Amino acid sequence: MRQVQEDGKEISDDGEDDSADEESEEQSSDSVKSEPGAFDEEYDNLLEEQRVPRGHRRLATQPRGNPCAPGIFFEVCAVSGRDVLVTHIASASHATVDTPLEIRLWASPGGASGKEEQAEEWNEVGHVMGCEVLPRTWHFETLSPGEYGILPLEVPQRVPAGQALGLCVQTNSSLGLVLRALRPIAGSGAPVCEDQGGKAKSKGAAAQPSKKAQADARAKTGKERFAS
Amino acid sequence: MGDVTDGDGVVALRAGRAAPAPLGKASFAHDDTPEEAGLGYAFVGTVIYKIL
Repeated sequence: MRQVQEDGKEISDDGEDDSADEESEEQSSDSVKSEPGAFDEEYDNLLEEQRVPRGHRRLATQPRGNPCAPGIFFEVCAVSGRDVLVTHIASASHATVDTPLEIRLWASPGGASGKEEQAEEWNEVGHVMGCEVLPRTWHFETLSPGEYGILPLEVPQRVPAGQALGLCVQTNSSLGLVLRALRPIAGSGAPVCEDQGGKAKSKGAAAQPSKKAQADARAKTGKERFAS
Repeated sequence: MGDVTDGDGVVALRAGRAAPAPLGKASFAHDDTPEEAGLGYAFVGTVIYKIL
């Protein structure tokens, strides 16, 4: 995992400075540093050259694995005692996506867990459409943080210190968004899709739910939200 | 499970559930919970933020 600091250095999660190994990214960051102007004035640069706007930081996850899904729920937590403002996320889609993507971003203050089926808990904060919105990648293909496709939050989301922001990315394709499956819970008996950064071991529980689970969930909620 | 924290410990990402239904095709989310499936799914990409 790497992060771009305000001073232009990109560091890994072990605290080491990666800038020496990634000259191009260092140059990019230096350019950002030298450019004046507010965030809006630098927005074009962000899109064209995948830079991080001045005063912003970038948290990069581990690379993708095998699975894809139409979307994902996850949480951004402000853990340092300082408020943060989430302005963009960036990701990728599968190489075989053959339709222009439509992507909607949803946010829910406080977190995502337990709200996945409660549409009233979510606010739409972004909507992007187009053929080249997200780069298309093969299984386990690694992108540098700057190569992901930018998805701007039209309404930047403030995360108060010590709290979480739930985010949902939802696309119009079953291959619309790459994911990384986590290790199975010990003793669950569930098949392993992949391990952390490793290769696929077997097929099994993928992003698509079982019909029984869907039926149960429908019965639980009593209605289908966001239906066409 | 699946938490990712940046180098300075300012922001952490917490993994969640896949959203199996494409836009406009079905409900918002009808996935097994990570506990049921034995798996969770993590976001892949970057989050760009500003410290206030």
